[in-house]
Amino acid sequence: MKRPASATTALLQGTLDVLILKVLALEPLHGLGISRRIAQVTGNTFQVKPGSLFPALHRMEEAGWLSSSWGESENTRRAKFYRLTKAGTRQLKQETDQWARISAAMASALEMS
Amino acid sequence: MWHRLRTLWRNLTHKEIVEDDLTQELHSYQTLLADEKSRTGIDPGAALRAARLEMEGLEQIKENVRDVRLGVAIESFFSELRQSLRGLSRNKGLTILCSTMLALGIGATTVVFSIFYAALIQPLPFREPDRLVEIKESRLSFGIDKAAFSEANFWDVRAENHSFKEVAAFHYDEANLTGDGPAEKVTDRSVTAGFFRTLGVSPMLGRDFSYTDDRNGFNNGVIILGNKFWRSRFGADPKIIGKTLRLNNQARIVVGVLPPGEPWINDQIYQPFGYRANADRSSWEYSVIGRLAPGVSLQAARADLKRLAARLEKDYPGSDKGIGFSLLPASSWIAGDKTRRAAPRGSGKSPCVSLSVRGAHALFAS
Repeated sequence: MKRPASATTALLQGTLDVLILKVLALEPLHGLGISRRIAQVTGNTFQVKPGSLFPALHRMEEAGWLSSSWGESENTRRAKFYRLTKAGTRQLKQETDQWARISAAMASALEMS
Repeated sequence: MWHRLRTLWRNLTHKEIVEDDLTQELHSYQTLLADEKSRTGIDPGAALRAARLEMEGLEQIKENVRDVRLGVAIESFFSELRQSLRGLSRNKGLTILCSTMLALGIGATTVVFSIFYAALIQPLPFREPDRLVEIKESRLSFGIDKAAFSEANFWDVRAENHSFKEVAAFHYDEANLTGDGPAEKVTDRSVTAGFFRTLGVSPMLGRDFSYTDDRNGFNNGVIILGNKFWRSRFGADPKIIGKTLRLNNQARIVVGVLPPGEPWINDQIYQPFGYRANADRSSWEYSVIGRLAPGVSLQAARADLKRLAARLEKDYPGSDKGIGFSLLPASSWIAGDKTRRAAPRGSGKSPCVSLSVRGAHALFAS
């Protein structure tokens, strides 16, 4: 039941959500695929472990941003694929804007002094 | 919203399917991870072991997923409830004792509230009760401010006042009812013809007493039945009007049945209390009520009755020496005005429930 609630975790959770939305905007992927693609697009900065990936996927699916269905992987294994819903697309737009604002604000704050 | 409700419903009602799906998904992940590792050249068994190691325990992941599911709070509520019920069933004696205590506490509160409601909060079942007053005779020179009326003074007040739409007197008695069933002692209120009109109550069956009904002393031969009595003795007979009953062995015709309500209109039998030319002026035994005429204030009515009292004192210096009249608002009929005003403040706090809850808590805590 207990989850760490430090500022870092909160930040990372938001980061993970927007990254998942972003990589799924390109194509439907299964869990491992999502994890590998995030590592790829962030230059290996984010190595998403299944212990945080799956809670995020299920939470986002329940929020209506993702939908899932069982399909076949590239090497003919059964896998559950996630894709973006319309609400997910809207969410991605919203979070992208927010991230742009935050990063611009952080950049200008850190350039001072 | 709709999507969330459906998800919540699925999580709560199809738990096995949801869990099974999660297990399969994690196994698939593990397989794909092992495949990935075996592509680097290590043998499949070692690849699977490495994959398992990297996932750090399927159960932990499942637990994390369960924590974010919709309805997790509802589910843990029910699981705690189940646990509590199991605890209670192990401790039957204590459970019974506590339930009894709480039941008695709640029951007592309900009873207290019911009495409280009937006596203080429930509105009087009369039309415009704020126009109703009770009138008392007084002899302030003897220190008496609220005395019953004498019969003759009532008839004079009824005839000569300028402040009331209706004034009525009544007198309480008991009588023996015979015929049409077993003999029974009944409460019997003698009322002047305007009594129900003063209260603003109309019979639900038949008719009210007419002013000719009280012209002829007490022997007018008509009665009106109270609602409760009509139900209990006559089974709410709709054809009761016109039936003859024997009251103290004299024939009485039922002319009306009252609607239900408390107070004043819940006696068993009402009969007209009629005018007598030789009415007594010194036996104080009648209660009198009045309905203020439209636009007349309580003050104006008091002044009017003061004028009348002076006239009576002058004409009947013997029996009406020092006579005056007091007016009491209808709200004082059941409880004093102060009690009624104070009532709503105390109503929220019932000592019964809080005591019983405290008791139950103490038992469990020990």
